[in-house]
Amino acid sequence: MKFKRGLFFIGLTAMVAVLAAGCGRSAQGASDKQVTLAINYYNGAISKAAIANTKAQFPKYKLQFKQVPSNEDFDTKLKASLGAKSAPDITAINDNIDDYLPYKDKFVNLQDYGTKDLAKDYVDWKWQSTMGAKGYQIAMPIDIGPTALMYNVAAFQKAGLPTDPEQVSAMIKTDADYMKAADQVKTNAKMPMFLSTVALFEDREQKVTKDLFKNGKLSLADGQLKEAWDFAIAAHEKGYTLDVKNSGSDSVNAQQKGLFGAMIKPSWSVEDLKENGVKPGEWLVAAAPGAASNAGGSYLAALKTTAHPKEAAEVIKYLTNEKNQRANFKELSLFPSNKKAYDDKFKATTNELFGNEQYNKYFIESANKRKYFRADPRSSAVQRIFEDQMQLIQDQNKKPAQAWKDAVKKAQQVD
Amino acid sequence: MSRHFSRLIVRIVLFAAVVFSIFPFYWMFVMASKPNSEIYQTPPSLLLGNELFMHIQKVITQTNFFGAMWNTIFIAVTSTLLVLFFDSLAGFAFAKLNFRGKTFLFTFLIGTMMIPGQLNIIPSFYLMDKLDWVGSYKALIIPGMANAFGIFWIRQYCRDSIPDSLLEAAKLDGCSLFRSYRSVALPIMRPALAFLALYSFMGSWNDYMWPLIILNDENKYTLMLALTQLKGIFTVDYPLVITGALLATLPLLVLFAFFSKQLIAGITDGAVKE
Amino acid sequence: MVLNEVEANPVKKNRKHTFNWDKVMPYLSIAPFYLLFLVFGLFPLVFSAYLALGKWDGIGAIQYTGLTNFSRLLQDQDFWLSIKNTLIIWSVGTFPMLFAALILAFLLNLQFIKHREFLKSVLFLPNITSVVAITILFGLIFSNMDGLANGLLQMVGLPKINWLTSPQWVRVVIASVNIWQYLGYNMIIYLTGIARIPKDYYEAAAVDGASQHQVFWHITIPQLKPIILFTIIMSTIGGLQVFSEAQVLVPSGATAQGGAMTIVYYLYKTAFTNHQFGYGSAIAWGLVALIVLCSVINWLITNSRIKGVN
Repeated sequence: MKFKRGLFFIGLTAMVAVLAAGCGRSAQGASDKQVTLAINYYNGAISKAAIANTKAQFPKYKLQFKQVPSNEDFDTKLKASLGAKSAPDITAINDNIDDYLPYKDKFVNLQDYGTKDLAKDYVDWKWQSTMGAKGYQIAMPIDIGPTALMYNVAAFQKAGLPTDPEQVSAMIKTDADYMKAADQVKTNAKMPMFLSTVALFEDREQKVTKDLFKNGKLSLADGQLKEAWDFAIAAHEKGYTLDVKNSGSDSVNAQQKGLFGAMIKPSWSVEDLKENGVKPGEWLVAAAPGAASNAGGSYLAALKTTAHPKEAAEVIKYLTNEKNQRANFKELSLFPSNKKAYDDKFKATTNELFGNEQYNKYFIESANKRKYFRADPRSSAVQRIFEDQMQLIQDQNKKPAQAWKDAVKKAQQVD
Repeated sequence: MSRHFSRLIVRIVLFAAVVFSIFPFYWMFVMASKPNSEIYQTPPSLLLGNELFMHIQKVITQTNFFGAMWNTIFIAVTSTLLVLFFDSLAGFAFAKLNFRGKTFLFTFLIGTMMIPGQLNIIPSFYLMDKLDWVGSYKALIIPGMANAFGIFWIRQYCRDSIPDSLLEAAKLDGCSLFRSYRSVALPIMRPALAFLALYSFMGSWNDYMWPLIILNDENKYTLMLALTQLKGIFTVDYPLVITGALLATLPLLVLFAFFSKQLIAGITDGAVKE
Repeated sequence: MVLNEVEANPVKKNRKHTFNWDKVMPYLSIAPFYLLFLVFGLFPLVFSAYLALGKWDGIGAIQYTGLTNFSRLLQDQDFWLSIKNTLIIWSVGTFPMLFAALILAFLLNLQFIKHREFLKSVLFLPNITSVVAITILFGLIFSNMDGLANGLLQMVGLPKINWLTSPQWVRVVIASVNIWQYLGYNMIIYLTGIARIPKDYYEAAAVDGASQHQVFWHITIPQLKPIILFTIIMSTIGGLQVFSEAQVLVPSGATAQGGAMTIVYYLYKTAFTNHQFGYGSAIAWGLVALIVLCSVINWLITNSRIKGVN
């Protein structure tokens, strides 16, 4: 019975090994007095170059950068570690910073460490979005996601629309223009203008200028949400939408093959287009029609539990400075929130995908145009409810009036 | 004639089952070997492309692949051994020993499996934090080392396959219960243990959410975590992701090919020869 | 052989000592599970029970709201629809699969089958992949536009199917991931059981001139009862908690009406996407109630059915 004895022996060894591994860990960082800062960020939030710069800038600190997968998983991890012993010193926060503003006390007030004077360097709405209260800044901005119109050149040509970015920008200025162009694309190019009803609704939804809650009560932005809703429904009913899923292989496929006319996309989509296998010259960039949209982009914050708030603030300030934001842009197409980075060289940026087009001016314009409003943490859940109902309209021909009614009812239950 | 016919049907059924099992693996290779721009071809091309090696290289350079693989092996082997020991002992006790409160305790054990794990993540994390186990493999190995599934499985297996007469004989010979477990029950359980080992190993190998929450250090990442480094922010380079999945499965495939004879044969061939 | 091993061991004569030890031994054997549960399982459980009675966004303090969450749950259409989705996915993915696994196990055990080990290994292979990885692949195969499945349909002149956006089909696709991964797995479990059916049963049946069909229904199935019960209970527990497949196939815009929203997915979305951890916990407890109910029903049916055949 060699089997069972072997099993016992190995089992015992394994247990010892596990325990030993545990001991080894606790013995490690005990004796050295060096300042150690753990920095959690998610895929694509900080560039490798910026990390290298920071390590070189602070040779005396031990900086442990830890890359965590993005999306909900990152948030779950961050929430679980707020106030925990094992919390990082510095963390990235995604565009859902509104969820954390009510808990500003869990974060270091960076204005205690001299960030106040930096306000003028950053895009205004983004800066304001970091303030938990007046004078209490919980994070520094990394990047933003200003939007532009990306259009399918072949489709526009067939439709008899201009194909030159300047001309497109001049022609499609408002939401009404956008819809008119959609009609032309449909009639002449026999092609839908928009990827999907949901995507169109999501774009339009981001242009509202008020929160969905007012004094803690559901207000649906005083009718603005309904405007966005109706806009998308109109396009859907006129057959301007291709109606494939926003995310996943079908949307990649549709971009690759140019199956629709145009989309409003944040700056980082330049990188996405390339990854999605789009060929140079097939899509170009113009100014986004209508109001400025997209409040995206990430932040860096120091957690209150850190033993070194001063050092953490220094590192954050450095990581979000002009130099590192440039590095992020170069490596990951993360659009700087630091306005000092918008110099002539930046404006002259080109990309092999778009030939010699200098497209950054559209994004800069959009970045400066956006107005800030603070969102109730429940707003994102309410938005999702409406988007989900829109999905049902798109996929299953649910009656729009019924869908709106259902969505409102559900939104009222969000607590 | 009809005998041949029914044999033919049996063979066809088995062949169809084999195709059903194998095809997705083949399709994984196909997807992994094409550039992103060619995976949506219509009509679909069933042949391999020629970018497989490029993608493999990319996966290996973009992630700490081999380090993560070693970590995963360590965790999977350790927890599997512990699971085998604790589950077989408890399963044996539930199947063959009489003690007060057995029915209640067993029902309770089944009951614990019915609680969905997703919500436990945050409170469990607090617990690990208090224990100072965050970032340590202990948090991945110890809580699961005696699990309800395995105990249930061993118990179901033991109930009928270990004759009571054998245990009584052992008792008459003066064997302690532990010795009966070791010398009588364990050898008979071997097939069930082989299956449990496989199950437990796969479980730790493919686990994602809990390691993600617990592990902080990229050098300690498991393979599944390391692969998430491949994903972009909002898009997915499907061939690359599939290549990653393929590479994460490959060690298992190799291991399985190597041991399948012992494992599967052990699992399924006559255990009790009376 | 086993008996020899026992005989070869030196016999201990100290009866008194052995007696005491043997009384404690059952409890010692099962103790690790219960200790681990006390330490690692109970606190999360109590916590989520408490959470179900309150409101929590995952960061601040928990506000006690009494039974509000549960009364909301009972009236929540999405909850009931997600139960329906889950039950459909579970039944489509489980029962045909278990039955097929049983038949495959039986066929593989027939005398004239060659390359048995190879076949077993190949059929088991799907189980060693990770759900997430394989679901990504299934998502590509069943993508609405130019997936392999639609490509093949078009090649034989059939219209495309909206696999992932039609409520009926998306449930089938989710179930098919489960069928693919667990067919061989359950087959192996059944083979384990078949292997320990004493050979003389089959020999006796052969002497009586029983057909394979009769052998299957009158020997194999009754003899496998504990194992079949095991697979049904495990598939119920697992099937009612189906989540990853649905989440990977429909990562955004999943709705209860859309078919892909399972109970755990609804729980996950409520708690982790919308940050309503209190209500999420209430959903979890609704799920627990459902699993208990289904398991009891299963247990009863399986017990009486298989007895009837015997």
